[in-house]
Amino acid sequence: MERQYWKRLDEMSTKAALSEEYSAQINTEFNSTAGDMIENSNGLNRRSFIGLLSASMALAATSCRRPDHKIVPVVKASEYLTPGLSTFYSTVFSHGNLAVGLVAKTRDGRPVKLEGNEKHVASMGSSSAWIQGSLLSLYDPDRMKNPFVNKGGFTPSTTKKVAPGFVSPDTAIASMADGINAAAASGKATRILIGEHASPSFDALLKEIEPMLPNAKIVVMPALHGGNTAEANKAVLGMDTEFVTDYSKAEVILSVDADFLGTDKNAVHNIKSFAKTRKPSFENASMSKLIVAESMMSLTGMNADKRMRLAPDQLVAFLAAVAKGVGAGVSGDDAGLSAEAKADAEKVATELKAASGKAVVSVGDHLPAGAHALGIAINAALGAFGAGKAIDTAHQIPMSNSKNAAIAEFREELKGGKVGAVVFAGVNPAYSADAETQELLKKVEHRYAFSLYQEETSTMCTAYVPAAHYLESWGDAMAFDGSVSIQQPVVAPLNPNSFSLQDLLMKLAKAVKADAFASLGEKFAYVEYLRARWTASYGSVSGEKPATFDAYWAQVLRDGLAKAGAASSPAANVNAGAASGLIAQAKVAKADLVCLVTPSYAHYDGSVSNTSWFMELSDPVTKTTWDNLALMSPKTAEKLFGAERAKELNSEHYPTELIRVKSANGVVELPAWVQFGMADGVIATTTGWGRTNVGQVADNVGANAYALMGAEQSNGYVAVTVELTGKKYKIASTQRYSDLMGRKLALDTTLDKVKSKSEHLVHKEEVPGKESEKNSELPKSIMKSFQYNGHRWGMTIDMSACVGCGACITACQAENNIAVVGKEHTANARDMHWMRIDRYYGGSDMENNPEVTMQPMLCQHCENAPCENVCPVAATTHSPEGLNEMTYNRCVGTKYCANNCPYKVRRFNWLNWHKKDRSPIEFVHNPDVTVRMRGVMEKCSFCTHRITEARQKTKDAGELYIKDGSLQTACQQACPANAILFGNTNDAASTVSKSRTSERGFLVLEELNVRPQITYLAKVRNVEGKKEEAHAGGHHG
Amino acid sequence: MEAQAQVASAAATGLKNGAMNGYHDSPSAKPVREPLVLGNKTVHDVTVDISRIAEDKATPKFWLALFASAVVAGAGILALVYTIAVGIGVWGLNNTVGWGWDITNFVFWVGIGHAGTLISAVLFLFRQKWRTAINRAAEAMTIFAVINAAVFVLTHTGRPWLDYWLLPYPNQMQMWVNFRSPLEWDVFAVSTYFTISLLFWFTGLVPDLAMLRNRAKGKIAKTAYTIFSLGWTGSTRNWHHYEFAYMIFAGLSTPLVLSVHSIVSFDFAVSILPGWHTTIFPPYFVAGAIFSGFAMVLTLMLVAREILDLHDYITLKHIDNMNKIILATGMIVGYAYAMEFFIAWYSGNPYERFVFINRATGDYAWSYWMMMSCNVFSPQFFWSAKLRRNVMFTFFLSIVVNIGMWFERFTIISTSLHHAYLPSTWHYYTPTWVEITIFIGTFGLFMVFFLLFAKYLPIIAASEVKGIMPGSQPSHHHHDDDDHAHADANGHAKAH
Repeated sequence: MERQYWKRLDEMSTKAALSEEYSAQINTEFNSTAGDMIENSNGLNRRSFIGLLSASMALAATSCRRPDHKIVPVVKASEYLTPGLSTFYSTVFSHGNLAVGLVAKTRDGRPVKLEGNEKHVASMGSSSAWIQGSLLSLYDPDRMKNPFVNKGGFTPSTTKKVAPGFVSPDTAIASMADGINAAAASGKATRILIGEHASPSFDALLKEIEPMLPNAKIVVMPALHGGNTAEANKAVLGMDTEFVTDYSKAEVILSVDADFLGTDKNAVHNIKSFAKTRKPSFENASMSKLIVAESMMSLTGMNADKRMRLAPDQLVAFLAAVAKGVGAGVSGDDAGLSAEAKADAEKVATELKAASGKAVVSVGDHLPAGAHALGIAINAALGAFGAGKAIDTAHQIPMSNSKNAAIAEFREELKGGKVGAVVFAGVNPAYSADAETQELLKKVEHRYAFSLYQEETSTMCTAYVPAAHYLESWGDAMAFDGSVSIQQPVVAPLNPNSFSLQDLLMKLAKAVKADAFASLGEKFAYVEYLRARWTASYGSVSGEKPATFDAYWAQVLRDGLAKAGAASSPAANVNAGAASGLIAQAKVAKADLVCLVTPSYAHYDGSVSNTSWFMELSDPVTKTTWDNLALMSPKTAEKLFGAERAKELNSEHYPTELIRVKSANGVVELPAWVQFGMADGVIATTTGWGRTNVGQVADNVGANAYALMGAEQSNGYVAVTVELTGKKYKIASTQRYSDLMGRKLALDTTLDKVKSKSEHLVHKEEVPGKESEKNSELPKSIMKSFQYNGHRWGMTIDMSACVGCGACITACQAENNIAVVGKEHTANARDMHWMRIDRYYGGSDMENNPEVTMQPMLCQHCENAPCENVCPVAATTHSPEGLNEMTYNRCVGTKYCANNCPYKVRRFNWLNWHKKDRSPIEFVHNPDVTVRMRGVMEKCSFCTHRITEARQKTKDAGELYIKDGSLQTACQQACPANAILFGNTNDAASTVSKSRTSERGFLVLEELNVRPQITYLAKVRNVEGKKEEAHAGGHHG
Repeated sequence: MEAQAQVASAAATGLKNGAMNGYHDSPSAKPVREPLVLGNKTVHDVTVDISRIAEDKATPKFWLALFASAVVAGAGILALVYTIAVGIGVWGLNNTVGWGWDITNFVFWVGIGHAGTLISAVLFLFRQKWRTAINRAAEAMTIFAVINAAVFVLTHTGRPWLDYWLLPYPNQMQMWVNFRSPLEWDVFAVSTYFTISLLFWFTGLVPDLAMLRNRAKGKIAKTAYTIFSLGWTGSTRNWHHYEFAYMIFAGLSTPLVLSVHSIVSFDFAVSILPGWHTTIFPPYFVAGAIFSGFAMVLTLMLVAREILDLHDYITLKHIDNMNKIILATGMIVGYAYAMEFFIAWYSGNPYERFVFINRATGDYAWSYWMMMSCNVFSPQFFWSAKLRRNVMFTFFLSIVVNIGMWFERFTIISTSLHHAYLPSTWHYYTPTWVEITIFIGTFGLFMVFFLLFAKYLPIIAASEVKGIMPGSQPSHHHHDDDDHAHADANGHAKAH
């Protein structure tokens, strides 16, 4: 008998062991053939089960398909239009009376991007944020759509769609004509208010229309009057105009409160000419010197090599002292000047004098005419006037004569009740005029408006017709060099009820006087008038010209301009007597607190504030968005809020204090902002904010600072008092820390060091692996390095040329469909700009006169990109041409890449930013670039779609490599300073490759060995004295 | 039949236990080690004590607690739905601080989950018998904590409906995942950990589920316990397989105890961000996870001990042992904090130095000092044996430790991000009500799971406790037996 072992403890009890139930259980548990039990009686065993499973899988995989039936598309091609390709049209943008030639890129009939026209003197191919943003206003959903007639004035409705009194444009114009006739019948005048313009044809048209309307006169009444410059030029030089300064012709530049690089409407030209001489190298170690004396911190002041903070009432005296120093031959009172300022003035005068013939002085337009008279005298003494000199007197801004007298006369007429009808043609005095003028205008019986928006003025009018956008209308404009461009519409008016101002005025003239413009006959339109004028001028075109007018017209349209004939530069003879007269009257407000109101960088005068790109463009000085602020020095803040609170405000942590600024003319509530570099006792703020009835974007954003200015506007400075409201206010700043904390990120150096070819020009960090790589050993990385055969894209940014204007930011926004996020999200660092400009303060006197460094920052397209290897789904990868690419479709949105980016240039779509977009705003989008949805990461692509386009063209031309210079990124194209270079770094002969060998070159955070593909060139300061080493500001705030 | 067999075997051993437990009453023979089960229990007593919880009718208090937890969980779920519907922009994160409460909470919950595996696997392999009283609850806690961690890691993405793209599966996009990304490693680490923990937990439950099955009277209970007890008969083969499987799982889980949090720490350590890029992270994170896990086990078990009257099973000795581990891991964590500072200084890297000084003195200094006081200073009280055995104090400190460990993760994640390389990008991060609600909601979810577990599953591993009771290994406790023979390897009682 086989030996038995216990199989369970239970067998201890023999009873259990013997029971049948127990043995059955034991047998089942210890059955040696247990595996076969699966094959049970019904025949389905393991093998047949697997067989059946495979058969059904195979059947499921091979399914049938429907038979093919061919369909045929409708083929109907549009002329000039190839789907998927862009068409470019030349046109012109008028910033007041400054004409800027543009090239508009259109896609399928709609403009999607604006660039400067390379042939045009005011842009030379570059542009500004203001120009870029003008495209968005074309598609603004808040533009008024319907004309109306409403005797009681228009009541703004919340919907804007259904409102009483909507009529056809003809009815509205007829109503206006009735009013003008009625005014004339009662012996009253009609006044047509227009803004500044640079159009010779419009000027001629206005001159024709004026006599057609009974008792009518045209009054040019821009929101910002300006005029001091022209007034002084008229009195002192006998030329009622504004000159343009070519800063590239100057070695020493003195700016007295003139923000020629910032808020000046001609800033594109100014930056271009200024930056030309700001890029010194070992071979050419020269650069201009910019000396700025100002009371607020302007963008120009931030770029100064030497900057003096002066109280506003010292500015004229300072000029007088400089005039004395250079021997300008005019009398000026410099008695009030502090000893320090006096010494400075003397020093400046010596420097200017030394650079005689190559020195120039610019005076802020808001300063009184007397200050300009001093400036003119100094410039004349320095020999700055004349052909080939900094101020070529032939370069006059067209129609820049002083309007102050005409405006004052109009106000007198209003006061006298002589005006019976007023037409607001593209002006908005209910927003921008002083309180008194506004009251007077309301008393005029018949008030009519033409404007882009249903805005402050049109809502108090009894008849209104919407105006067309400049990109929808014909016109022309003269540049300051005398060349004339045709304003070519690049799209038919989106709103069929809208007309250009010129068309509207012609229609109005016809409604009043039936035979007006009879010569045009059937073709009653401004474009015919324009053509007729150009036909007349065709005859007088000298030199080579196309055989027929039509060919000439086509050529002008294509080129974007008709070149000016040779103009002589009139001699600048200073009338010392007249100058002294003006100087004696020159007074700048003097009080404990003085407020300076300047145009804003983003909105300028506020006429198109409803443009979200402007709202989100951070102010280059304060780096804030969505608000205008009351800028003040730390000391002024201390006086107002006490030392402790001022210190808090100083550290750029919000919320800040809301203060009430009161002048003799009005009150505004503004958030206080401590701005380094401000003169004590000065508060600075900007216009263009506080719109109340224009649209969703601009309504009630910021405060209307026009309220502080008087009717005269001749002086930007007004005496104010400040009350604390006790209210806290949150500001959306895009950069909360402006201190480099001693980090060597944004390097600067001095001209002396460039001249002496210093070895330690810029600080270089030790980089792991770099040396061994040079010695052709293996790099210290376990990853295989990339091979770049063919192109490899790289960029150089010259921080010495960059003035920080921000044109690149908005250009990038327009090119790459970058979303606007609004104030709340901007305040929480969710702004979407791919390009930003980091602004750092440094120097030993940071609070009073900081040394400012601007550093444009964008994706560095690192070779060892830290973002690439942390993405779990490989949504951000390296291209064979060295681009760090972002595949939106693949992105899941872990944000790991952004966390690991040392430059923090990645932008996340926290929400669906486009959700609230209203039609037709979507038409502004560039069809070459994806509009990103929520939940995906994005960042600078080095304009990869432009590279693709260039590659295709190159291929079509049968070439292998994209030609150097034939490809520009959007930021590079817009940059007026030409501070950005982009190209193929594999090609040693390319511009970008050459620039990268510059002795000023450095990589930001090179020591991390991420190998960024953007080389920065250190900023050079033209300062006296030696500095230890190129360094970043070492102040700890 | 099976039931009979088991009862019979239980009765047989029980008889002997009862006889041998007599030595507890003898004051003269104080044991070298404290007994792990008090109260002169027989094996049957254990069965009854543990089954009672599932068998008794649920009290109104239970329903109230369950309802309250469900409401909190519901609020969290609503906040999650809102987040997914609108976008993670409803949280307070920004382009500078891309990870905030979401990843903090993820690491926090994964860390909590650590104690379970440590107790069930590592302590098992080291034959730490005292683990039997707490291992079941700790393992359950692990699973619930990892579920909560998954909530955060799955919803912190911008497009959570595409999270499955992180899985390497063949697809028509011809896209493969990026195996270089630590987040990808996380996918494997956490999912493996969850799977193993779940299986381990379930395997351990089988004999106890059979016990409940055998005693169940209700139809639903009977069916449910029958299904999940997988036909357990208590046969030798069953036990043999069970113990082998348990050993294998313990072996598999042990490296996971180290790997999961090491890999979670790689999310930070592999980056180039100062404050994250630290080689000390893997051990430091593991220690921190054990630290927080034990604290959480204590928090839960001390409550369960009171409410379910488990004083005989979770004794002061257990509490004392766990507190010792808290003290030890707390000091490891403290050492890591100090070492981070030292290395920041020693490296000479200015960015590194700044980040650490900024932690202690910058905008988030409050969070740093919260972490320091809770994690480093407070466990020092446990040097005192008296305090280690003070239930109320232990309970309080276990909560303090978890608060501290939450702040540790927050300090590491958000403080490092908010002031990184370029000062121009520095920003601050404040959570919104949505993030706060989701976090609180996960506690609700955790409690819902835990209450259901405590009520319907054996909260103490009955079969294991029976195995470590004095009678189960008679030779160990045969003080009057001079021979002092050892129990056989299986721990089964030898017949005398």
